[in-house]
Amino acid sequence: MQQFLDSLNATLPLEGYLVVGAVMFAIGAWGAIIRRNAVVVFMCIELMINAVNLSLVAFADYLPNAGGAGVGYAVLVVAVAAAEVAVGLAIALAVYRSRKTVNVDEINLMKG
Amino acid sequence: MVTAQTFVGLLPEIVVFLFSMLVLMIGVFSPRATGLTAGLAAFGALATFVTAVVLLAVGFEGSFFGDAYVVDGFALYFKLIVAGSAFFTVLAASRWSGRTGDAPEYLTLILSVAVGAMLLVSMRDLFGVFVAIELATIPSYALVAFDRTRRESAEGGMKYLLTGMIASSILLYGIVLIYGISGSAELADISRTFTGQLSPVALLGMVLLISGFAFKVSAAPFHFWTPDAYQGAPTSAAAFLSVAPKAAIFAVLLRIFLEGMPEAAPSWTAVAAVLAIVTMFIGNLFALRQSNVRRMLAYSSVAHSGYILVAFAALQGGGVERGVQAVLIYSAAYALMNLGAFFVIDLVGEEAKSYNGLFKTRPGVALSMAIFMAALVGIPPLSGFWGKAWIILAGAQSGSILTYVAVGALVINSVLSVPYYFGILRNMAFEEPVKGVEEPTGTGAVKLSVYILAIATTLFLFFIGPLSALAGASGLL
Amino acid sequence: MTLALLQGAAPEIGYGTLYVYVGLFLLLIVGFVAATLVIARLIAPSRRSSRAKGQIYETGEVTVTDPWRPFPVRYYVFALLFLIFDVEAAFLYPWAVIYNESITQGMGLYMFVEVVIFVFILATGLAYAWKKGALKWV
Repeated sequence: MQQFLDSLNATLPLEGYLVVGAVMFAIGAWGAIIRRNAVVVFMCIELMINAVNLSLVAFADYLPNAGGAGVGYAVLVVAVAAAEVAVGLAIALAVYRSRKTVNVDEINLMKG
Repeated sequence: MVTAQTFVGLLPEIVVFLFSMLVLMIGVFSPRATGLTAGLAAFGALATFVTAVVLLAVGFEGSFFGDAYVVDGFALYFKLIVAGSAFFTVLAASRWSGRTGDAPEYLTLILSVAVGAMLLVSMRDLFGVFVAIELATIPSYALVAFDRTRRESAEGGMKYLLTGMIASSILLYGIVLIYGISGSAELADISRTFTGQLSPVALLGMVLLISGFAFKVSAAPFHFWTPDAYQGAPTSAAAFLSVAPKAAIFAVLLRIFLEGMPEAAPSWTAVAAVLAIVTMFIGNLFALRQSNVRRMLAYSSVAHSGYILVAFAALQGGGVERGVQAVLIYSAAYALMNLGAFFVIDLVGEEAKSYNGLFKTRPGVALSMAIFMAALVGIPPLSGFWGKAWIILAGAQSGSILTYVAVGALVINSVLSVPYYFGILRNMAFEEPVKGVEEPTGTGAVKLSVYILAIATTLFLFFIGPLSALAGASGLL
Repeated sequence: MTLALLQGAAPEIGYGTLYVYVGLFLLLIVGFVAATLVIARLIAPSRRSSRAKGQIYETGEVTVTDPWRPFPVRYYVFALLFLIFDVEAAFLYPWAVIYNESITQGMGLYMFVEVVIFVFILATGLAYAWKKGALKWV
């Protein structure tokens, strides 16, 4: 029993976080490529950014000489992502007003 | 510790930022003072330019915030390019944006992009680079989608936004991986990781970083947002975005390569050479088929990104110094001629037909356009020629086969680009004027900007001396 | 067992032990909900359904319209403003945590001025939105 508890007490390896982050990034990228609705694409991109943020926080926690500075960067990344989505939704609204759709494959006025 | 020197170093950014806030606030609290806001925005850009000139003239240098932010000749030079093109863009934009009643917001967005681009060239910390790039690109999404009277504008903005956001997350992943393997995001610490045999994580980080940057400078195969965004954007916004943020991103990429990973030069020069060859051919071949001048210039800006990337490929062997000089000179030359060419669209129109017989009807504008087109091709005494000449010189000294191939592709592409640039010239000289094709939108200030830019493009030869001296004195070498 | 676990792991609680706590709490929650439902079903007087029972419970009021209609777009502006100040708070928390420490290092004034500039910029944005009428419910 004590042995089991000790094994639980061991810290998770860095690779665990990185693999979860990479899988999340891949899911987000896949969604961003195949989904048609622009708002859903925004959500997929948010997933990508948050996956990177997870890797960043994991690195900041594990690296001996990083001094935890990565956590501060992570807050900056969150703010940047929020600003991007705010502008993105405004542009999605502008497109919806003129075309009555936000499907990216129907936005095709310009070609060549 | 923050001293008075920090504020002096940040003075150009502080000035342009304060003016952007001032323009926004005056614009919203007294909406009828459109002349005042336009004047303030132009004055702010000019004041920033003068501040940067003064800092450059007194030889101000320094490194702030724990070596994360550096002010040197190289950074100040690119701040000059950004502030100068912001000045001309504000001049060209004030009249147009005044019609829709959103002038202060439009001018604030232009100045915000300028703040981001000016901060970007001084960054020595990869996360600072990311935040500054976003500060420059997030307002530019709004700039592209700004024109409510044209449906293309919102659509171009949407395409720019989606690809830009994906590019940002790829760039950020690269930065995080490099941070993880180096234990620090500062370029000095990163250069210790990028030595000898690169580890797979470092290589992956570098590839993701370069891919993200390739998106941002519209290098093929990541260029597909460029034509739609520039065609949809208001002309002044397209002119500004194709010049200022792009020059700043090239500058910071140069800094990352030379300060952050100098010993990995064989890897990144090879990547730059391949990107450059693909980008030049795709840009020029697609530009050949365009009838819309704005779209043609968008593809031409893709091709010019390829030309600058050849200078990056030459940053090895004996070509390092010439390569840096080539990027500096080409950025200035390209800023002059491309801003001018885009502003002419504001004066004449975006359909190729509108240019028919322009030499008879409006000789001044036609002559300016002829100068810009000839400069974009690279006809000798004009600005574009000197940029290309420096790139070829740098490539010849690099001693790498792949770079020689890239330089050869540059020469072939210069010939390839002649038909579409000179097609406009032929329309202006030999076709009969067509009545009532398009209503020209720009007047007064735009015309003045076009003439100033045409003169600067013609007399670029006389700037070369000081420019290459500056390039030699820059902190990178 | 729980007590022994608490005492044994008290000096240094690792991630794994925390997961054990979370697991126990999950069991507790699921058990509580299940027990409540079962007991309610056993002692409740009537099981017949009526129209009033099938309605949506919204603070005890009868719903006026269909709740599944799309949100009006003007919520978007409020969501945007909320987002700005939400993220501002995310920046102010770490600042507040290290502010005390920085006073002892003689950086107090610098950090205070810095955060005032930060809040001032956001306040400018709020002033813009206010003047443009974004806070007015039309």
